[in-house]
Amino acid sequence: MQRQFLTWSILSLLLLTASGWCAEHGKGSGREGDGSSHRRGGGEQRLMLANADGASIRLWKPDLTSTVLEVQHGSIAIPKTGMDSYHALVATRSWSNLEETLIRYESLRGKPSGHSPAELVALPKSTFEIVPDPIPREHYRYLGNHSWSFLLRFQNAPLGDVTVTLTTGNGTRLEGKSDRNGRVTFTIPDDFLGVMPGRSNNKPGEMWLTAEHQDSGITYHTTLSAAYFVDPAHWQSKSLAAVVFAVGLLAGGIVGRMRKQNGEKSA
Amino acid sequence: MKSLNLSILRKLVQLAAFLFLVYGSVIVGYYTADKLSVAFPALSCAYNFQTADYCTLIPFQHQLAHRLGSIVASGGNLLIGMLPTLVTLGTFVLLFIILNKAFCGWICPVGTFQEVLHMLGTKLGLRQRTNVASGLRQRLRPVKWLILLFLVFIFPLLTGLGYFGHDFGDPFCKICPSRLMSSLFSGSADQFHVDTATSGAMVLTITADFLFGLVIALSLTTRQPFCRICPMLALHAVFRKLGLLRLIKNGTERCEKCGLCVKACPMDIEEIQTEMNRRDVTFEDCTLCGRCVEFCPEQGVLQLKYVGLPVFASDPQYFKQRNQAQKRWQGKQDAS
Repeated sequence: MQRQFLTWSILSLLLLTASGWCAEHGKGSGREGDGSSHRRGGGEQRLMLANADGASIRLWKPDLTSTVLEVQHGSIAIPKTGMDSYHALVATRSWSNLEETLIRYESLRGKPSGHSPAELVALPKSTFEIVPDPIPREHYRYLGNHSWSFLLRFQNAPLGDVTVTLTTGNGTRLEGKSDRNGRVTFTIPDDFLGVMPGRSNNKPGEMWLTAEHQDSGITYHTTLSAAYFVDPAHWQSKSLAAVVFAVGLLAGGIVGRMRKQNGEKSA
Repeated sequence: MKSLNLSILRKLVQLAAFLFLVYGSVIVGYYTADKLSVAFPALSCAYNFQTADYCTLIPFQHQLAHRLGSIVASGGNLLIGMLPTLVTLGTFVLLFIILNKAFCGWICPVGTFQEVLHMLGTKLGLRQRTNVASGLRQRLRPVKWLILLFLVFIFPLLTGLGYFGHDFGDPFCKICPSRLMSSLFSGSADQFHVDTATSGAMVLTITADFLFGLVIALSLTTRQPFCRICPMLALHAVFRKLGLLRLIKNGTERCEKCGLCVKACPMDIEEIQTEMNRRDVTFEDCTLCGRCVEFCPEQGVLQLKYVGLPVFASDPQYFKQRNQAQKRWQGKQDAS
């Protein structure tokens, strides 16, 4: 029988639907949605977790305190924490010789926590986990065609030579292997169909990085899920920028030359 | 050290500030930079991946567009909507009280970038010896106020209220040369583009790329071209009476015939020479760089004072040495 791993496909969908609503709502009132709303939600969010039987879910806050979230009828509510910055949603489940973990980092709105996201990322949240290295800072996100690194951490130590699979909701599957420092780097796929100009006109996709490791007869399976976005190069032109920049240089040169001629005349 | 003068000291401070503000996260850590930017907005660029800090103009725009505007539009509590903007203003004023307008002349990375280009232009023989014409200077002066008013405050607020697309949520950042300069210096060309997604984004990014080229070319021949229209200078000018550092003048009759201070001033502020009544001559365009004090040949006529205490005063002996150093640097007889 095929194992049914924990997935946050539905969870992710709801999260993004909730934040996407902000964008759509904004349009309704005459505004275009702010792309940052894809990453930063303020209110309480309900979400579903697929294959969640026997799973325990914990929400880690930026100050490294945590709350156990109850699964009710297959869904959970993420409470308002009142803290800004990244939170970690961690679902874990043990089945005899299988221990699996599903982690997702979400940036929520609130008061400044006074803690660096580095503390949250550094905190061991399960025996085996994939850690963003680094998490995108504000104004940054996982973009198609951009490279991002991740660390494999087993029992709070880097784990090398492990195959990591990156799959996306748009059907791409990539494989990489962690180096001796436990680091693996992927170029995020830009596999969106029907790309429209402008970030807010394109829904983000979902990607999952998974890895498996065996130790002392136990199989550890871990997944990191995250949203990823269309490469803005679809609607941004560097060659045109170079032309405009050159025109600016030329204009500056002409003005400088005119000033020189005027200066020589007045002298 | 015999060769150390105020200009060299200032350039060392500028270099250190540039490294910190442009490559700061290398020093303070990737995430600490994010936290710093939340706690203490100061000038750098949020679009720069490596940056340690924020430009205070970014939170102003974002808070007006995303917070105040949306709260006003939904009929919410105005005070709550304004609170983030007031906190940003408070941290800005805190920094401003300590440094006054010296931030522009001593710390701003865009100012440093333009100065370095101008030094290069001097060495290449491109530098213009004459100051920017008085009429042009007068016409340019309101531009920084208009940019502050419209691009930093009004457009973001109107965006929050729903009158503009989100491209105008931070329109000044979209055209600011610092966004391009600092990101390019940190090895990323991501910000160097023309955005064709919307007509607004296209206009703003074309303006940014053109302005960046223009500023680079002009900096080779003219001192501090972008500073003259920078809204940060205008924002500083609003609060200049609060700063602890001041430029003080004890004018004499000889001032009328001299004019070396204006020749030395990178912002071509004629009033430093002509003003004979006011003691505080920290004019709206002044960046408190101190060059006018360095090149004033009269004892104590121009002074930089901190909380009323003189920290640097004009001195005939210093003037001679500084003038000689300048001639050596330029390889010419021109003293400015």
